[in-house]
Amino acid sequence: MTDLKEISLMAHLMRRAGFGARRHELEDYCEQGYTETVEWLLNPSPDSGMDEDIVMRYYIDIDDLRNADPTNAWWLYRMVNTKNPLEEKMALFWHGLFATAYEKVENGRATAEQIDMFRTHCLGNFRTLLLKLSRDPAMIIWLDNNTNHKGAPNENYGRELLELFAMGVGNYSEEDVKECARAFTGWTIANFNARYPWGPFPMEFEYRSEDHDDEEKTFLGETGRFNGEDIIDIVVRHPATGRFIATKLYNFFVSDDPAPEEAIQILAAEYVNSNYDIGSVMRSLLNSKHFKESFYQKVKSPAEVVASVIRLVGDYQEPKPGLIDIAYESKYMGQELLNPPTVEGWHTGKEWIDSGSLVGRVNFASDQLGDLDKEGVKDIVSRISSSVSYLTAEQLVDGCLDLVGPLVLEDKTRSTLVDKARTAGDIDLSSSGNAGTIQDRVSEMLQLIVATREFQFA
Amino acid sequence: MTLRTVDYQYDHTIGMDDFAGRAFRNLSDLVVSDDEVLFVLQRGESVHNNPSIKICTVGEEWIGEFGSYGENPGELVWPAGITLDQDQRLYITDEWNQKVLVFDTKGTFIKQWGKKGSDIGEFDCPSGITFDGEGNLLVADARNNRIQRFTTDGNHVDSFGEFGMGDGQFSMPWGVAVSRTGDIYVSDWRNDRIQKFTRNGEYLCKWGEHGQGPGQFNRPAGLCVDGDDHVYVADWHNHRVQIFDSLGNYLGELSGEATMSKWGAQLLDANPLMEGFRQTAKYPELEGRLFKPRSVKADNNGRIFIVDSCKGRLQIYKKA
Repeated sequence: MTDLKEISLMAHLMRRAGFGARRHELEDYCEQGYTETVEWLLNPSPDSGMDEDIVMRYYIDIDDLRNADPTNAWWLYRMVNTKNPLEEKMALFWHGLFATAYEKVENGRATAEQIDMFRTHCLGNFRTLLLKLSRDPAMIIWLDNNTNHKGAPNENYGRELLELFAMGVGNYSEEDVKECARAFTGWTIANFNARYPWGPFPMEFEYRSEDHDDEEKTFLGETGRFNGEDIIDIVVRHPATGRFIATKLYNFFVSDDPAPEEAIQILAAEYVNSNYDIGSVMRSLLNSKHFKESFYQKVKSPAEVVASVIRLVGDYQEPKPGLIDIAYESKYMGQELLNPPTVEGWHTGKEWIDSGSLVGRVNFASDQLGDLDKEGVKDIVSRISSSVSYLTAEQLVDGCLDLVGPLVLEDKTRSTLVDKARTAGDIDLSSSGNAGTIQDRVSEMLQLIVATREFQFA
Repeated sequence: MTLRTVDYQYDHTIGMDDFAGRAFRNLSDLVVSDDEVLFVLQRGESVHNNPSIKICTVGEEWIGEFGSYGENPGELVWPAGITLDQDQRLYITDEWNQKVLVFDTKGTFIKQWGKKGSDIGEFDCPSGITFDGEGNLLVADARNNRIQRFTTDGNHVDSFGEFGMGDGQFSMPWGVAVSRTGDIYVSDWRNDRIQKFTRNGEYLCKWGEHGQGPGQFNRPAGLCVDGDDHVYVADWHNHRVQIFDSLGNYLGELSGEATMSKWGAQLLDANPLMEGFRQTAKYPELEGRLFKPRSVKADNNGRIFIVDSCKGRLQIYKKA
């Protein structure tokens, strides 16, 4: 029997390094142990277990990936069903950091391919990731590097590479931005085309040497006839970069609060010592005291709310209609995947919540967990009703809290739920006539729990 | 292109990509009537978009469309296959509603049958549909891994097949076709092969394996047989249609060579910036290639109609 502390830690790991897990999965992970589960997460299988052929057969629009909606839906489906949860979570992290929007790219397949690239390189070498990013067609369109020409540089990509993607303000000069942009001249795309009449052409990176400024440049104190690769080499080994990545990872995976200096130093050192290997940094992070002691210190992003609730209720394990509409829910809550509001990505933490989005989050989770036809809800009912023959109000509340988290509420909130449960009395499970009662009571309690403040945190 | 025994000539392309009105998107199948009218199945993208049967002529004259989303009688969610009888009634499979639905060519709903299950007459994702030589319907019951035969009133006649990789077994069959001599061909989707049966469903032969070479498949979808017993297979994720004789000997393949359709040309004429943009493509030849074709149908005039699903168009070839 796995103890509550162990289950709670594993649930925490899977909320942060994935999109949550149901109780039977948590029990399996506990069986293999925390460290081993972290290693499993850090080493995604080549087969994410998606049965892509079946998905594409039934979702013709995902087979096509013509526009944003099916592309978005496909990503949600992967979050719900992947056997590589950290890979998918890292892709979401990089998407937030290297925010690229369909609105400008207007090519669903290109945006999907960028996310695929994140999956492939998410836990690898940061230099490789930045190089792939700099050659990514969606990014080139998004930050206008296709208009960055020799003699007429466009600084957009060069500036954001330094400011938002790798180093942060204060670690470079305006002159560095200009030199960086010059180094990326000639890095463009071929086959950029309109979506009509038959859809866009497949784009590809193209290096045009005649359009590249091959003259000498001075960048971050180094001088040479730098090309984009040289710039990336200088960036990844700059001391600011390790701290920048450490801070971003900490705020995404550990806490919305400012990262303590000690944690940043540990992660930044791992970045350098591992030769810029993100997987090594993540290993350090997921095994750290800071991480293990950070239960429910992060407001769930809308994508996390939607994916984790769908996983919890066991829906969309196979193709079925309505996936796009489920994906819309994240948009209604303030996070339209593949369409971040700006190149800065989304403002996270408490900024995810306002009165409108909170209602949306609660209503969505309540609708899902109130549906007794959902396999995951049936499982919760079954687990609660099979453990005892007589269920008190306290046991009903605590059983539900345990199986949606385990979630710990403020005493006052828990007492309110218990009082509410008491109004309907205890449940004698030995009476067959109470089968429907337990279902309704659990469903009602789950709907109340998702309306608590604590449920909004991961 | 020239095959060993016959030449195929690209003829023309119909359609342009868009969701509503005179355009195609998310295409799954088509059927062509004797009077040169095409009925093309299109799926919706969400509950906000109706699936529809789009109707036009072989000459690309737009006629109209019908169809509405839902699970009530006469409504569609995931239309998959379509065929037409001699009385001009359309028979459509729906992979989500688990039904065969019957409409007249004006879109008037006539009847439907089927429900989810694995018992006789029940469905689990009915896909390809066609008539046999006796006027009965054959339905590829994909996730039940069988072919079911029905009268046009929906009465079950017989079934054959079960899950497996052996002879006469299936893994999610998609397309079903019948030759003029009554033989039945099935695209055995997840086994990446074609199987051939007698009119009674007795196994005759098979061909194909996973791969990209001649005679290999990457998930064969719809298929058809023409009057010369040539078998055409929409080799879905190899982006081509492969052609075989009735014994499975490889004859050649069509990979698409679309030229601008009438509807597409009208769009570009009205939007010169779009046309200018189009001209900048580095690989313009890619525009004409098939992309994930889901179905192929032959008519009685030596024409082959390819459902170029993810390009929102139909490519038409003729036997020379």
